[in-house]
Amino acid sequence: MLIRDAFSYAISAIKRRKVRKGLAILGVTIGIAAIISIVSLSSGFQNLVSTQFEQGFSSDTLIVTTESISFVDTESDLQLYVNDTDIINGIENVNQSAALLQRTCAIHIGDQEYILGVVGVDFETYSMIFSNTFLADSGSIPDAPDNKSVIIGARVNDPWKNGSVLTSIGDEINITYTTRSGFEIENRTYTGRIDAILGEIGGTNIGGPIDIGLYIPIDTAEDFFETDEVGTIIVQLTSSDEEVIEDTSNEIEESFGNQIQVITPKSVLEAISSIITTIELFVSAITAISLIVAGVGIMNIMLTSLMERTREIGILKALGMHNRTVLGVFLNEALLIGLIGSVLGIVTGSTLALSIDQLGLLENFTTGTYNTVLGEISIRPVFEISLFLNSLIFGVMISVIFGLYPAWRAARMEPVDALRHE
Amino acid sequence: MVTVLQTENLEKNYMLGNIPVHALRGVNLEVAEGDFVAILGPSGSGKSTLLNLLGALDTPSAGSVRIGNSDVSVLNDSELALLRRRIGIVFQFFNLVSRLTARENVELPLSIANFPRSKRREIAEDLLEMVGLKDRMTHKPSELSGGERQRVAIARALASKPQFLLMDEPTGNIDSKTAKELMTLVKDLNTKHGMTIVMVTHDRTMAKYATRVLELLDGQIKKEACN
Repeated sequence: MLIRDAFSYAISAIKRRKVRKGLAILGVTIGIAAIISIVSLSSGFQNLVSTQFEQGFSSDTLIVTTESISFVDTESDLQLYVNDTDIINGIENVNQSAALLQRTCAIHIGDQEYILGVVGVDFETYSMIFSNTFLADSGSIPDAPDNKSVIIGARVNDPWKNGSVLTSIGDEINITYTTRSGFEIENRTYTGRIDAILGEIGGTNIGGPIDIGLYIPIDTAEDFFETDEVGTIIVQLTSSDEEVIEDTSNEIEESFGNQIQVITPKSVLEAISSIITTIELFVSAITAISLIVAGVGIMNIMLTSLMERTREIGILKALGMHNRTVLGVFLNEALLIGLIGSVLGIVTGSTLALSIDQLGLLENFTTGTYNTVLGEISIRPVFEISLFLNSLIFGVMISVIFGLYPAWRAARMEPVDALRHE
Repeated sequence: MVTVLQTENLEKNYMLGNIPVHALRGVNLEVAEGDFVAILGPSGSGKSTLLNLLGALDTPSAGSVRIGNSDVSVLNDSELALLRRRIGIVFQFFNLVSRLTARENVELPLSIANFPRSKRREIAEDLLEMVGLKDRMTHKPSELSGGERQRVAIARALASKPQFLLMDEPTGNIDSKTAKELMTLVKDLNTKHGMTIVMVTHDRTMAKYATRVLELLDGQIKKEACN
């Protein structure tokens, strides 16, 4: 039998049992759709990590922190202080450094109230380190800020991203810090003045300015929060050479008795990538199982159809069809189920991933934690030709493997027995 | 005279549940080119078993079946498949593929034998015209009467230009008027086209169309008569 004839014969067999074959196809479709949507979104996440993070976090920048990025290690009780920048600036290859004194406060701006991380930082140094992102869109970053100066991120002023701004340059902003002395809960409030609104940054910067950030001078922060303990010091090196980064990191760690962490851009990326890879593996395993279930479904349906078509197999053999051609005819059916299912799955999965993106379900995935500051993350699904091809091959392969046994049984039937079958 | 079909001491035993059945007990038969042989026998006489053996659909327990120059019992699966392409079989229950049209059913053996599409269609249309179904080509078996279905089956059996035609109770499932018309067609195949035919039946009136009538009883040929 010619290949084209074998295919049209298989198509006519699939058409004959539309509902049953349709369900088999659906099984493959669901599995492949899951793979496509999950993998494209997680590659989108990878992409986000490798591009957006790197954007705001130049490779010559280090973060010195008391917090551990590992989930296992216990943190040290050693504290960093504002003046520790002097120690760090004395280390070879360090260009400059800025301490970040961050506390969570309630903010009244216009008629809105937010809970935000308020960051005390030296404006001059910070704007030199993050010269691409710590830039005023309106107003200007003061060279010599007074204790009322406040700089806000774009999203603080325009939370719905629609241009309905809450405030403008020179307006007042109320910052309330809640703390306790002894048993008493104390609310401290001070009124600042908006000197600058940052341009839209987008993406995520570790330690860098973010769209939902609020920045005050470091001296004001020390007075207001009544502390000079800081969680994070951003360090800019004179070079982004790997060896320099490595040596300087070690030196900074040593000068604090190895009680603090120096996070390099590379280590952050590696940590996040390894988490993503683990998640991806786990999810892929689940999806693979769902496809195997689909395969068992195909096998079941093909065995049923085999019983129904025993007589037909007898006819084909009586007409002189080779055993291997009978095998081929049945495998063709499984192959077509896999092919149709996979193509539908690719379309469905892509649509699903795109609609998740369009509906913005993964946007505003924002957090402002104590020391590690994440900005706005938006995940765009990434579709690669290889993803489509691999899914197609995988879907077809599963179908064919599970179709093999029924097809083999069909091929081995004795014509006289098959013809006698009722 | 060329022998197209020959059996020697042909025996066939099989198990029906736990009971051994001796369906054929030494059948000797020779069919020459151009013969129209009717094998007449009551049900259980072993005539269907004999037909399956003659059609290379089954293998003998003892003795031999020669089809043309080949001994069926020494052929492997692949050689048997090729041999079956040279045999035309018409079954009592038509055995058409229900989802295919009349023409597609006739094309099926040609498709199995790798004939190109246009050639297949031409042959199938000619044969359907010959059996009187020119205007029923695109109908499915469910849309055809019993007599029409059997004509499609005959056209299918003839498609691959077989050396001989085997018919298993071809009129068993159709009414007597239609059966008569069908047998006229079969008779014409023998007389006008020189087709060698072996037909199994329990019906004496149908056997009258044949040139030789063999009576099969309890797995043996008891008597031969010529019409």
